[in-house]
Amino acid sequence: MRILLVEDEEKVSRFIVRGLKAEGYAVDAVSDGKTGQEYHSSYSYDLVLLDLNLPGITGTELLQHIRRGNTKVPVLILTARDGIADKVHNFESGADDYLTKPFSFAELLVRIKALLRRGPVDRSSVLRISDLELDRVAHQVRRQEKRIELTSKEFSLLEYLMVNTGRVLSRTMIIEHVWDQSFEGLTNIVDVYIRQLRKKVDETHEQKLIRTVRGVGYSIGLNGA
Amino acid sequence: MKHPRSIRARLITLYVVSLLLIFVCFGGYTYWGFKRYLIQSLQQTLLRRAHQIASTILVDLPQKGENYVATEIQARYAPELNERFIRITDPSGRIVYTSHNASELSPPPVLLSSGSQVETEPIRREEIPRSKEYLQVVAIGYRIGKGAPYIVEVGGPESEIFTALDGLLVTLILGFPVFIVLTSVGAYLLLGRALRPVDEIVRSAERITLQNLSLRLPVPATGDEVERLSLALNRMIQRLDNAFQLTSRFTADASHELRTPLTIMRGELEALLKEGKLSEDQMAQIESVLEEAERLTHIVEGLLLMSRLEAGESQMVKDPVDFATLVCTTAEQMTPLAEDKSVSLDCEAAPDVTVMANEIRLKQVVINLLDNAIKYTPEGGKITVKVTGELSWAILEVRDNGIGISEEALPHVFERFYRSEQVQARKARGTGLGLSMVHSILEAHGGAVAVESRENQGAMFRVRLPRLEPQGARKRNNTRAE
Repeated sequence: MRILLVEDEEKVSRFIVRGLKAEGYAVDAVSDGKTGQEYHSSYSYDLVLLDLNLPGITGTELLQHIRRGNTKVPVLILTARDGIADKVHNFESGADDYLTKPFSFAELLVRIKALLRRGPVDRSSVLRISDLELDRVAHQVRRQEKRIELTSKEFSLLEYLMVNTGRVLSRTMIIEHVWDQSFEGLTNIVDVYIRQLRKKVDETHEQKLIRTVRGVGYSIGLNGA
Repeated sequence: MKHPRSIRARLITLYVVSLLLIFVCFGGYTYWGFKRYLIQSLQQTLLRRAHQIASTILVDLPQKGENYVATEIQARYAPELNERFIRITDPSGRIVYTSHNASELSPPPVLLSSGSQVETEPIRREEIPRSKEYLQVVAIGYRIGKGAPYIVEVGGPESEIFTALDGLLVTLILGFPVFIVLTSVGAYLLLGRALRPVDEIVRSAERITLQNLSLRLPVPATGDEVERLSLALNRMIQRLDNAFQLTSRFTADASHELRTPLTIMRGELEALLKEGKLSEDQMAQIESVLEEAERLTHIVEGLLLMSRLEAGESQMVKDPVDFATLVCTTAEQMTPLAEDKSVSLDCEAAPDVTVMANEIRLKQVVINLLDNAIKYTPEGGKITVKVTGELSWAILEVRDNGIGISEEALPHVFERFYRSEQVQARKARGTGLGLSMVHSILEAHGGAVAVESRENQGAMFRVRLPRLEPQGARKRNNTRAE
């Protein structure tokens, strides 16, 4: 998988490149719009990460250029601007996702993975980790064949964690997906729900599935990975 | 109750009181002057008569004798009929002639002048003959030939003068209230006219808030103090506007500028954490820094949101929102947080309370208030949420029986980053923006928030939002209008 990163802030660029390479992606990082345009014309990318405030050609112009080429490549916008008008404008120009700075790398990674697997999305009705089973259609959760009763919020939370098995999800992301925008900033509600979920899912079992990554968020998976 | 003090009322009172004084002075002066004038003119008439008597009748005394004098005076002046008093005394003090009604007059004055003129200077006096009215008497000396003068005295009653003066007094007293009423009404109208621009300035000034600092006061083109006042106020509003925009832009710019460094910090730290090459202690340190970075992120977001709200967030889309449902659903979503602390959270809502609002922001208000209540209510506490509808307001009350707010802290709870000593003592962590965000959001919706609390006796936050007229009522009104 090859990713083009257009970001003029050198340090931001550096940690993204390092992180993505560690995840096994090939990354080309450029620092201005014009070079970005050249790279995009010369090579074929699976994903473009685009900062909006660029010297020369702006991110929005580059995005429009990419879309004029009628490419299907997914584009993720990284920006320090978060006005609703900006967002709408860029989605109209063909952005696939939008991430406002400051973001956590874990969040960027989850979004990149979501965009890359867009084609064959895992729509299977039953999600499994080890002996934990979540049935999306029947709205049921079992562990070791024993039924676990969850409230609908707890179910949504577990479902979101399991869809992203192995990935660290930040509290902000969890809130955005399971609650709504108004709960932004109220991260302790996530902690409370995770605690309840642990009580029901992990407490009576030797093998703990839900893991806390302090300062970042939560993830679910085997061996805490 | 404090009475509203108005310049108009004060000026009118002052004006009427001074007019009253002026009127009383003027009336007194008129009365006195008029009386003086009447007495003088009476005295002059009397003097003229004395001269006439002396020069036309008395002069013939040596030739025609005393009887002639008496007959002539009776015939020409008929003193009894005209209520005149006439008396003539010879130099030895013997009475030559006296009208019947002059018998009660006091003796004639001693004339000091003994020069050689025919007539002496007149002497005027006022007398009150027994049981009679006031009299004015004029006496002159008249020489016939050589030797001491005869004394001619002529008197007349003052009753006519007093009749005239009484008439004047009645006119003045009757005119007085009419005069006062007329001038008061006139003053009221005139002052109203003069002060109307001030009223307009007051009304416009009341409409100007932080959300519409671009508004200006009307400037009446009168060229007077009022015009200068409104121009000066407008310049002041302009300066406020500039200063406020500067602060707001600064907050927004600063928050934006903080975003990139924050991104880098979080990215680098997460990378370190992920590599896992550090010792347990070092990892814990990095985790702690990451937590702080996240808090900082929330503060930056909060500040940005508030500066946008203060700038009147033009993009804020407002829809009719069922307030009761929104509040109780949110309360339900927050219940796990309360239960986690063994605090009970109840929601009680009147149906049909609709407000025009941005749902996300309004929900944020409820969340922040509840989060606050949960944070400061100890275990086993109780939080009650209540939505009611008043005539044109939707009311939300969030009441808890927690630690409350001290008297010193109460006026400041809606300020950004304000931390009371109580909060500091409890080491509660937050952005310090929750309640000021509530305040900003409500302001942007034309609503308000107030708090009542006493230390250790819980707190009650009361939110007020303009209520949308219920549909039924609107329909009824329409039918009535048709």
